[in-house]
Amino acid sequence: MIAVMLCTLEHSTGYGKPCYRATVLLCLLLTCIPASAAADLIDPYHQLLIATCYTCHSSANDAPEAIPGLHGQSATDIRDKLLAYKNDREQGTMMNRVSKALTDTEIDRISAILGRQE
Amino acid sequence: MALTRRAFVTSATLAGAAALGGSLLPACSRPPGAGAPRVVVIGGGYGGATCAKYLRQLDPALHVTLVEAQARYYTCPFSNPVLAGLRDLETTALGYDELKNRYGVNVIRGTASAIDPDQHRVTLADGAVLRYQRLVLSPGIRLLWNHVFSGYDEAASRVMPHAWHGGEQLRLLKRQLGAMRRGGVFAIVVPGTPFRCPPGPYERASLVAYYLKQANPRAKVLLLDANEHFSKQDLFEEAWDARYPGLIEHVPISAGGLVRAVDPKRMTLQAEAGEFKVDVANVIPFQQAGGLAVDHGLADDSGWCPVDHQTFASTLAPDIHVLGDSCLAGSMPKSASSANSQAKVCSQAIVSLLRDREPGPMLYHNTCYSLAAPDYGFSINAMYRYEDNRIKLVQRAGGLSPLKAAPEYRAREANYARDWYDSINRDSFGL
Repeated sequence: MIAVMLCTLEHSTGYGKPCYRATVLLCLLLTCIPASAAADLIDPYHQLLIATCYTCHSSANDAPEAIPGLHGQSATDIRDKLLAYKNDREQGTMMNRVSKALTDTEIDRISAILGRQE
Repeated sequence: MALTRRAFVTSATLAGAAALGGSLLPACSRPPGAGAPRVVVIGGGYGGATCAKYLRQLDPALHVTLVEAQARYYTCPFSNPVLAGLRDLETTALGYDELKNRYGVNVIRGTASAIDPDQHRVTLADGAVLRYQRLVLSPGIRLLWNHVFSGYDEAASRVMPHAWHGGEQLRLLKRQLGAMRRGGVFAIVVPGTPFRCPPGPYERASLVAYYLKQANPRAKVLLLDANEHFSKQDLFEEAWDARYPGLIEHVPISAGGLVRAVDPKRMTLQAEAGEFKVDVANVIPFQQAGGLAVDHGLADDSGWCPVDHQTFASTLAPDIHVLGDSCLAGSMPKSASSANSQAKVCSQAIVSLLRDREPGPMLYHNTCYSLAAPDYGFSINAMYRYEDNRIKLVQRAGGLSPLKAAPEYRAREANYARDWYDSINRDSFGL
């Protein structure tokens, strides 16, 4: 598992200087990639799509009146909601407008990534 | 990529603890290697803060320095609720500790005095020199003194505040609103487009009216406008009819709303429709790109900075990116939300460029709420994709809140407005 991650990460960084690459590996191993996502690295475009959500949504679902948090939901639930907004089967205030910009494939991928977050 | 603070803290802390015998520092705060590429970001508003954070998230090996003059950033979003007494000014102040401690951004308090694109060097006012592979400028706006509004300069702004940056100017305008005589006139002078926050002057008119309706009910709000139409116009006008009938007067340019001169001593505004004697004058001047960008030749004749829409790289200087209010980003408005979105795109592009890779497809958005009253909110959204070498609006998506919506709907969007503010602050400043 670790060996696979090392290969993947080494491949994903491309600055080329050996000592720098070692630092990159260490840093990447230690950080920022959630454990569940690390084995299945998210490509830059879908990272951007996910990042887009966080302008308005937080992670936690802490207030019923608030913009819903994104975590703690299953991938299926997120996907069903996004598709319902996109096809106007459900009427929200904002998400009908936003989801129409996304393809069904993008919705599948976003839901799969977010559905992994606890 | 850290998807959220919680996911980030959990994974980083566990990994760090496991690998380094119990260290609880999130690993992003670890310094990058000595040979790491250096990115310098100048300007710690929504654009610069978001860019610095996401650069470190996307590639923790990058050395990212954020240069900002102020220790605390007073946000422009939610400055109007502060003016109306609905929120304390200090709740709109954000700091840089999280970017520094949690994300490992090297935050320097200072101002850039010179940029040398050939040498890839920035010199700060205190003489310090920063080297970069990529430079990001997010310098906001420069207010144009004596431009169209003759007599309106920095000294005049201490009598007739613009309050178009958060902080001290806002405090001054709030004092003037509170001290205004019974039945007085609160004037808002609106500059020609483009300017920062297109719905801002009209949200301000709404929330000042909300305040006056209770504290000074015979007073009036007068909008003298250098434009004919405005952002969310139908929604604002519907709200004004419902909540503040007869309290707000809007004079568009066709009715002589263009102000040509101001006189702070006599408290008069000389508009094409005639001279207005007012009690409080909130004069929002014409604007251009931030001074740093203009002074270093990064703006074109329009006064704003042309950029490649996929990377936000300046088309006028190599290896310098410009984002936020200063840049020309197609039809994206000058807003905190646009700056936040552009910064995410720009950081993705920079990480690719530093690895000699072609940047990939990009998606952008502007999501912006306005309050007409504490329980009356509405919104606009626009989605964009990078297509045909430009930022292109996705026609089937986006749009405005509906007209004639139920009061519960407006109240719900008012709650969402407050939530949006908390979320974008967390997202941009790493709170």
